[in-house]
Amino acid sequence: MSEDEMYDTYDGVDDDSAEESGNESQLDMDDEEDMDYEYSTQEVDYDDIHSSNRSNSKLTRQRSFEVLDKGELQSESKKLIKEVMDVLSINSESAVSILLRHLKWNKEKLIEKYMDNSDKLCADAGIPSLKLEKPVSTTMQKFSCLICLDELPPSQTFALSCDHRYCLPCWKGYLECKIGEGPECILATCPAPKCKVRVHEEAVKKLVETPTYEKYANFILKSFVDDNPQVKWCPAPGCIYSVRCDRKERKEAVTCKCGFQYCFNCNDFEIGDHMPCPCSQVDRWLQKASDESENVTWMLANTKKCPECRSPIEKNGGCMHMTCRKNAGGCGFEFCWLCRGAWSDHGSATGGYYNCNKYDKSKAKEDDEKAADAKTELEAYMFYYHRYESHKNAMKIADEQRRNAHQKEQQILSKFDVRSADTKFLMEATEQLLRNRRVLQYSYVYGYYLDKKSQERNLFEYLQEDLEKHTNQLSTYYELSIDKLEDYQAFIKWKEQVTNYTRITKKFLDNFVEGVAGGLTTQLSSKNN
Amino acid sequence: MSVPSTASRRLQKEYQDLLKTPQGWMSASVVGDNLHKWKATVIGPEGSPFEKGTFEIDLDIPNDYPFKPPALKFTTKIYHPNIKSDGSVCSELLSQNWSPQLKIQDVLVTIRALLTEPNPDNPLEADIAQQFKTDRNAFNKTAKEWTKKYAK
Repeated sequence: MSEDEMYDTYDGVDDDSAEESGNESQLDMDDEEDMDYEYSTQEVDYDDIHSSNRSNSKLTRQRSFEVLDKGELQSESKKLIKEVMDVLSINSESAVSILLRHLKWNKEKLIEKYMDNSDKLCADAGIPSLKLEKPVSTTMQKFSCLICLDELPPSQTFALSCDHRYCLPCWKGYLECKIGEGPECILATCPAPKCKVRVHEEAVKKLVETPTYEKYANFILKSFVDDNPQVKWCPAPGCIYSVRCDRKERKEAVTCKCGFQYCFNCNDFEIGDHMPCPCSQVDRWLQKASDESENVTWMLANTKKCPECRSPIEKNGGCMHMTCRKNAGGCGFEFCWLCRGAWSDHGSATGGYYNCNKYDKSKAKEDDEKAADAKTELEAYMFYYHRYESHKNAMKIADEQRRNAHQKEQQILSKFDVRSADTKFLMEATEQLLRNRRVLQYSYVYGYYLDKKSQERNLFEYLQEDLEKHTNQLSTYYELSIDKLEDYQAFIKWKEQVTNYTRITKKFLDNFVEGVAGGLTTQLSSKNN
Repeated sequence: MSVPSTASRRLQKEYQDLLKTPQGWMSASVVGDNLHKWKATVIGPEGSPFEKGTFEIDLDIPNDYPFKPPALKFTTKIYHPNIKSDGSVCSELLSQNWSPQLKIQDVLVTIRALLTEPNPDNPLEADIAQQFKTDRNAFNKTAKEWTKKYAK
């Protein structure tokens, strides 16, 4: 396990002593979510000062992700362009932008390729010359545009480095048309037949009106996000922010400015944050849930195949005499459900029509045992799936729950003589509940894949049960109707209950997450006690 | 200057040029007084099974022509892997390498090239394409028959 994983950087000893002295650290929740606890490994290099820093093993709080709005996205991309311009001594921003886009905004790759063979790279990217535009020759007297077939003064023309010259209105019409077609406009080339020279940003700015240019610039920004593995759009519907995350395998959730908390790697609104499961496990789980594979398991558990035609048959009652119904697509064969032998062989010799003593020795028994295993496996899956779903459903109504909490706050404010600070606990409880439910949801995925007989499983289920029990208890307190609170005293009592349970469940949540991350070893269980 | 007027002025010029210098292998004219609807004829290229056939083509010219290519449709029945039985042609044929510098006449050059050299790997009529690949004689025979019958 690498040292920059969040969970094992929690200092268990500190945590405990804080609790014993009754001073549980009052971390600002928002802050905690935005930061990772990690050693300042990124600062570590061969520099002495820095390595001594490391030997202190001091925990520093360092952001390993950033939420970017459009402006920040713009300056990020500009920064990257500037860096390349400096390294490669290219003085055209537009040219570097094209080169970067050509290599999916990968600065290192660009620098390497440029150093290796700059002519080839530039030609491939569609800018054979770093002088992106060809000025009008001073000797040119008359100009006839090959697009509109009009004659215009040479001053009203424009050409890229390829010197395919067209009049300004035709350039404008051409670019407007391209930009109107969508994101691919950033790959637009010179209008001449088969010419591969790429149109650059500066030219677009010069040739079209501002709103059209802005559309184009947005598409460039979009490519900056889409092509860049370190930056991704927040998957929440309608969210305008993007998130940059520098670590390849970030395990902890990122929190967007819109409030949505999710796994950067999965980047999926439906999945959200799937702690404590690794991404691959969530993949497997979702695959399992969506596949027909479970239906197959069901068939195995509940049906037998007609011994003649292999059609699956479900026995939903009645005696052992089965007929493979023709009207249901079967073959009409009559057989014994137990031994799958022909019904005509059954009679006194087999212990009577409705008794079958062939079963014990038959291959049919082996099949049944297999089916029984499948049934157990299916039941196990159903158990986990059911719980996963119910916590997931609780998450689905998260927004509604937040609204209800606000309503409740208003009710409290109008019923009791309290300040708005006195109702803050309600929102805290709401968020804690949601967090718990999210973790519980995925804990059933994690649990499903845990080795059935392992030690880890015992501890896992113990922690999970604790968390679930207390979450449900918090939920019960939390959902109390304000009408039931008779006086101020009752309110205060209730408030204390909810506040306490919020704190307790947070503790249980931390224990759980920490326990899972710590590999569910037994040392941790003592801590929990 | 707005885009539609660019289109009209250019179409007007193209039309006049065609009137001034008629081409033996094709003709094209505006339908009525709508500059955006043209009717063209292409003579089947020599050496192809379409030789001597007269193929009529309807051209629908978009408002943002010449920045976008015309849409075209054969109104003469033709046996060809890239021309559907209803006369439509894959739009990629023109849009892929379209340049606003190309004219109606260039579009018809492309069409004529397609008659000389069908592209069976991107067919609209899979059966014809299959036949073109595996039994060229049979293809040529049917194509010739159709040319004789419909492209008079």
